[in-house]
Amino acid sequence: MRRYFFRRVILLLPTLLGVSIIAFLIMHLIPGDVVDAMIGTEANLSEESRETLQRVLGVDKPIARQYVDWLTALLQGDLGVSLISGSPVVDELMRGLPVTIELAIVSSLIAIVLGVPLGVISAVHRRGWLDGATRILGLAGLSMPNFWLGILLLLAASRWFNWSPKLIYVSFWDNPAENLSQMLLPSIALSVGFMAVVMRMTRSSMLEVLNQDFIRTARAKGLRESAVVARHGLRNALIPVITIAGIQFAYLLGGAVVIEQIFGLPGLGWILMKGIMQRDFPIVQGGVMFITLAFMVVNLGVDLIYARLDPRISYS
Amino acid sequence: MSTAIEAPALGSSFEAAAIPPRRRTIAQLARTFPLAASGLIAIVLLIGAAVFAPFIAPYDPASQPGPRFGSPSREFLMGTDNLGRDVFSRVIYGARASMFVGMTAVAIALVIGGFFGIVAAYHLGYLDTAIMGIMDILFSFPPLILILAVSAALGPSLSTATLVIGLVYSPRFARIARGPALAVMQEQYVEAARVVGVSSWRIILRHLLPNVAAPLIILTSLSVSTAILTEATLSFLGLGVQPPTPSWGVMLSDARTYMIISPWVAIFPGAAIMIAVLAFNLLGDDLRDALDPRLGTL
Repeated sequence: MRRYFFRRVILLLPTLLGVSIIAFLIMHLIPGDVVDAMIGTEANLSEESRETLQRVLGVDKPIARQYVDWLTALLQGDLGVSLISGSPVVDELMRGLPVTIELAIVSSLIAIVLGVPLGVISAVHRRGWLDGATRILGLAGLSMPNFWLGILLLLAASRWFNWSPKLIYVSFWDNPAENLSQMLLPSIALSVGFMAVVMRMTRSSMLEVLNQDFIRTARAKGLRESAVVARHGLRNALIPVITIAGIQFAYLLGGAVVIEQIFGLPGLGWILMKGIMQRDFPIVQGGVMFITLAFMVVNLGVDLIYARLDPRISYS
Repeated sequence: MSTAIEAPALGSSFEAAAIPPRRRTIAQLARTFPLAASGLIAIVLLIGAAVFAPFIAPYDPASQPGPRFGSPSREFLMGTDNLGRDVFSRVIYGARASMFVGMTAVAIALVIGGFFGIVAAYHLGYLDTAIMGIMDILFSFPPLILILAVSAALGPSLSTATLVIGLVYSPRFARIARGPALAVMQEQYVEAARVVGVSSWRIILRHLLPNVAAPLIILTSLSVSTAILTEATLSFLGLGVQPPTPSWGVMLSDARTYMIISPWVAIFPGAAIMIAVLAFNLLGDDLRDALDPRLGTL
């Protein structure tokens, strides 16, 4: 297992290098000069302050040199400084990370707690009306834009409960109750698509497992049907479900942008969007790199857990 | 079940052509696959709405024929927005941006990804490693984050959104195409074709392409649905279609500020997005069941 782990990490290195090149180059896709894009064309900037700005941003050097400098700093955990706030990009992102992770955890919990039982029910009642209903529910959940659901939830909350999201974010450690009440609606909005994926995976995985010989054996030896389904069926069917849930969790790290925007939660996506709107390039560049790293780490973790759980996979 | 796709094990298209496919009427097909049929009908209606928008929409989407915040009525089916524009007309015109971006972006991804996936499988070795390495790098980004950042850098517009979504979606097409293509490359009839001097292009077109068609078709349908969703997300965030072009995402985003007064401005554009996404999901889901049971139901 340890050898497998190291091999996977080493195989990741060239990909990481490529990712860093793309994340770096995004800033250079901007047509014209970064300085122009930053301050707008109408501003009259003296040649001198223009050069100072270029030097501060490091864009006066050749592009390869800029990349090497950026990568060297990155390896030391330095993603530069925000042009707006002046504080290190890493610090800003680390402030957003707990918000996004909490959002991802709460929505994953909702999705799994509801999605797995629904998937089992659907599989056990295959081709019955319950199966039909849950399948349609699953497709609807997949197709529901989460930001539309978020807006509808906000609308309902303010119309019927006179509730609107607080403008100031409260962290879980400061006030758990307040924090959870802030997190509830955005988590529900994010969890619906996730739940649909978990449900559909549970269903198809259960259907496959319930066809196996050992299930017939379990029934033949007179086990109650509930025990057959839960102990023999679900336990084996859950492996692919865990994988898909892990992948969905990884997506949430980078996919909560809109929900964070709607509910005013200062997570990673919110910081990235603010950077985009304020033309704060170090934030955008660093944010893309940081979120992608988190995404890759979670995906690697999912692969490792999968290899660990499924005895059929040899990790030589 | 399989009407269009020949079994890979049977091999040559010559052999498959000798067996006449069972003919079924459209009505029979629709009865076997009710979900796909309803999805297809919705897709045809949506494309129709996009193409014939000027004939269907009662008002010009930019004109302000009604009162501000008018509720749905016989005159304004879905009410009017903060400027007195007809929401129904704007939803109809909004289908243009969504369908165009969704379908064109996936077409780009299909061509780029399919091409490189098959070429990688055909040439193996360095070229394969290089192509799949680049695809893996693109695949490592959370798709929405990469699309957001690149669109913002290039300057948001409809064509930028289309191109960027297409590029970011191509790795999954490359992966899906490479697998079956690799399997076919091991077949003796491909080796035979090579030995007698059939050109690479002919082998790719005659033998590889038909075998990767089924998974690519399924992925295409499912990807259009996510591409439509992505376009709506981009436009919602102000990084996709730019006003005054009517777009469902932009309409929803505008609606946030005054949806308490007039909920319909938030309800109808969102419902339109959901129907479009659902239509392609329904089609893709049944296509998967019909064409490739091995892929499972995800």
